[in-house]
Amino acid sequence: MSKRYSQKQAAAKVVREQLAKERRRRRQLWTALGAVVAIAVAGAAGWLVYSSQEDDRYNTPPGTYSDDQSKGLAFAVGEGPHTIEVFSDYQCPICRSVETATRDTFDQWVAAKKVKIIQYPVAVLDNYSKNEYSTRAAAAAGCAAEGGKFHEYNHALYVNQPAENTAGPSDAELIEMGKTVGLGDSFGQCVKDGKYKTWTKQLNRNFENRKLRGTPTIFVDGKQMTDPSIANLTAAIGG
Amino acid sequence: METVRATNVAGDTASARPLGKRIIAVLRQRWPVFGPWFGTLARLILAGVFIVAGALKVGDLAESGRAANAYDVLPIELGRFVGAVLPFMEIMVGVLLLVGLATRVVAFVNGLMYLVFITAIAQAWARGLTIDCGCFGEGGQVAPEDTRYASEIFRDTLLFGLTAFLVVFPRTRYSLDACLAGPEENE
Repeated sequence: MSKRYSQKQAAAKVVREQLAKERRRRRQLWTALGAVVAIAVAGAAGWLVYSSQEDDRYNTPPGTYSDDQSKGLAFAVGEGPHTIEVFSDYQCPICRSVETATRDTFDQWVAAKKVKIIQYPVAVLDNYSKNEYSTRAAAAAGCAAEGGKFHEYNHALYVNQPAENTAGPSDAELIEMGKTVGLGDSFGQCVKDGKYKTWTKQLNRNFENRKLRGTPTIFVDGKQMTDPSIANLTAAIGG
Repeated sequence: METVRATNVAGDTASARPLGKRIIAVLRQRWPVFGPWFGTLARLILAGVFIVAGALKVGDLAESGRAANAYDVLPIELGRFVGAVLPFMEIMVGVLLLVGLATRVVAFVNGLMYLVFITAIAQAWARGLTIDCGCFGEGGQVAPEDTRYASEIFRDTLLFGLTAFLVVFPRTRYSLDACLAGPEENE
């Protein structure tokens, strides 16, 4: 009697264990499935957020330069046998030193009708600013173009460049800076509205589409310069 | 006293063995306790890295796409897709590891991601690109002397090791997996 009883008990225990095993297997399957779905859903959410942020429509400032490559995403000065393309960011310290070093020379070459200089004010360094200075400065440069002062304002932005990883000039300070080059109320409104932020996004997309990686990037007659010193630039345009 | 020592090291006396073997013997004996605690530590490290990495990228998805395209592997549009999708997936993987749900599968996914990262960095290095991995935001081109491929690969390899550990030993302390299993299954 007692032997049979213990046998029965042992059999029941085996059944219980098998049921528990089955439950565990099921639970693991469902949690695994749930986790994988959660990861996939998170990815899909990312794509939705990105798509909602990206808008192909953009305002183009007046006076931009358009050719097959630039499509209204640049400003140009001068006419001449050679073309210099400059991709630079108002938050980029090397862009600033290149601008400072080449400014007078470029002016001379433009006056001598040697070159056309095409400038792309890309805004790819928002991560190096505490207040998205890169984008706001480039958009403000677009506003300056509305007042016909792109080149003056462009220079003022480089002169007043903030250090990386700090909060750059606020919109109000960008507007003040505009006054120093003769830009008025409509410029201020344009900066406040962020009218050309969509344009800078398009500039960035174009930058990426051309497989460019960093700023400054300078092309002379379509050839990328690894070291844009005056000597190298002079050699590239043949003296 | 003698009997306790004998069960501890299973065989000859402890003092006669070299230190390394003794440590291994102790670890093996303590494994049922030590393993799950180490697993929890691994989970928290991996979760912390992924949540921070995702959070730093999520604010600028266009920039994240540029960082992905800096590797110059995928077509531009696909690079943008990866740049948009990856930060959110990183955060979700991080959160799942933090709470310890479906640890084995999530660690496996995490490990696969590290294999992709390591491969991507290695190909950039081999091809002479000069980019930042963009692991924690930023990314894109840097000056040749500012590349850190070796340390990036070393770090990712260590983290990959932690994911491998969790795939082999997914039972950890303070995990939702353990809560769902209930006390009898955990013993």
